[in-house]
This record gives sequence, C-alpha cells and structure tokens, in this order.
Amino acid sequence: MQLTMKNRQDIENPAVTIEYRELTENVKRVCDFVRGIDKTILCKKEGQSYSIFAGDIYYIESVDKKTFIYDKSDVYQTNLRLIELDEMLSNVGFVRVSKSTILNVETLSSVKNLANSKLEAVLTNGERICVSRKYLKDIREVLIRRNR
Amino acid sequence: MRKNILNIFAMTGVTLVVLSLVALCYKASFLCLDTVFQALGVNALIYFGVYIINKFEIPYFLLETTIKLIYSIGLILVFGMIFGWYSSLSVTVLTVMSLAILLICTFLDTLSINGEINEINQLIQDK
Repeated sequence: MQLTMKNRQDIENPAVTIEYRELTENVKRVCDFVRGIDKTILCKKEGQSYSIFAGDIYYIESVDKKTFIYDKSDVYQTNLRLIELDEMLSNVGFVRVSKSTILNVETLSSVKNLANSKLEAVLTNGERICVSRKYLKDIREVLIRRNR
Repeated sequence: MRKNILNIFAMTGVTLVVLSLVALCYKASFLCLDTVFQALGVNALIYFGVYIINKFEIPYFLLETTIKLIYSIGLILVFGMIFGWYSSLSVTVLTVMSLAILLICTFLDTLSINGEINEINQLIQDK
C-alpha cells in the first residue's frame, strides 16, 4: 500500500482519500481506522464536559460500575459502559486486556511478566496497567493486524 | 480449543512420566492401560477447573494459587479413591507426585507465556 502525504495550507481539517482497485480486507481496515480515529467520546471532569478523541485515549477502566477514561495525563468519567466502548473502539486499535480495562495498543510500550505470575503493560506515558493472560492472544492479534 | 486439547495431552504426558519414575522407584515393571486413560480424564478435569478459576481473575496471587492447588490436589485424591490408586500408592506419595506434576506444568506454562510476551514486545518494536 502506497502512502502519499501532501501539506496543504488551503484546507482547515485534514482529509484522507483512499484510492483502490478492489475493496480488500486491508482497504476496509484502513477505512475503519480512519473513521474511528476521529471518534470522540463525551466525558466529564470536575463538572465540566469534554469531548475526547479516541486516538488520545490511553486506556479505559471500569471501577464500581463507573467508567473512567485515561489520556496521557488526565482522567475523565463517561456515562458509557465499558462494553459499549469496547464495541465502539475495537476496530480502531483498542483491545480488552482485563475484565475491567480496554487499552489503546498505540500507547503500548511493552508487556512484562511479573514475579507473582501477573502480567503488566507499560504505556508510553510510563503508566503500568494489569493485563490478564487470557487476553494476550487478542493483544497479539491486534498488533499483527496493525503491523500488516 | 486445539490449544486446550494439546495442553491436556501435554499434562497427561508429564503425569505418565512422573508416574513411571515413581513406579521405577517401587521396582514396578509396567503401567496399566486404564491408568493412562484415568490420568487423561483427571488432567482434563483439572485443566478445565483451573480454566474456570482463571476466568474469575482473582487479583490476589496467593489466594488464586491456593485455590488452584486445593482444587487440583483435592480432585486427584478423590479420584485416587474412585480408581483405587491407594492400593499401589500412599496418599503422601500421590500428593507429592501431584505437586511435582503441577510444578512442571506451571514451569512449561511460564515458558509458553514468556514466548508470547516476547513476540508481543517484538511486534510493538516493529510497529
């Protein structure tokens, strides 16, 4: 797949045009990814509402039936349930890593096996989150699809 | 599903090797065929029981390990009674054997997990 980028000063928002002869799985994946990257999620923080781009989210966690969204340095709360967010974001590089957490694989720096047989994902902002071993296969598959 | 079946057969293989070593210590010269299938059946039950325990994602490592140990050894001792294993092995020997098998399987499992983690880290480097 050839990538061409043009810097244009006459447009306000970036636009993506995908040229293809046949609508293959790879082309569909790129389309889904582009559609998804602009997805925003309505959240709240200290009484104020925010719209967070999916691409800026590091991970989403559900605690005590509340859903929290973590970006590089802040945490927000959303009314959406984890399962809804999982469905919404599964085709834009998000993967479930435990019963209560979904992760943006773009923010994954490494995975480590801890001494107590637990697994830990280290994110690009230095944060560490627990990973359940049963989701390792899913993480691997998302990374393979991403790297194709 | 395929991986689960392979894992059960691997556990059964380890069980039969450990059982054979113990049998050699007792100067035995053969293992009964029904022992092979009994070992397969019990290993399958242990495997699926541990699979269900893993689904709960218990956050405390010691608690999770204790539950798995009690379940596995409990199951082996119960089936030992059902299948008449105590006519050739004492409870203590059977318990020690079970611990050895569980340790070997845990070690093999850790190697497998480490392999997956290395692959994931390589994919992260490549992206």
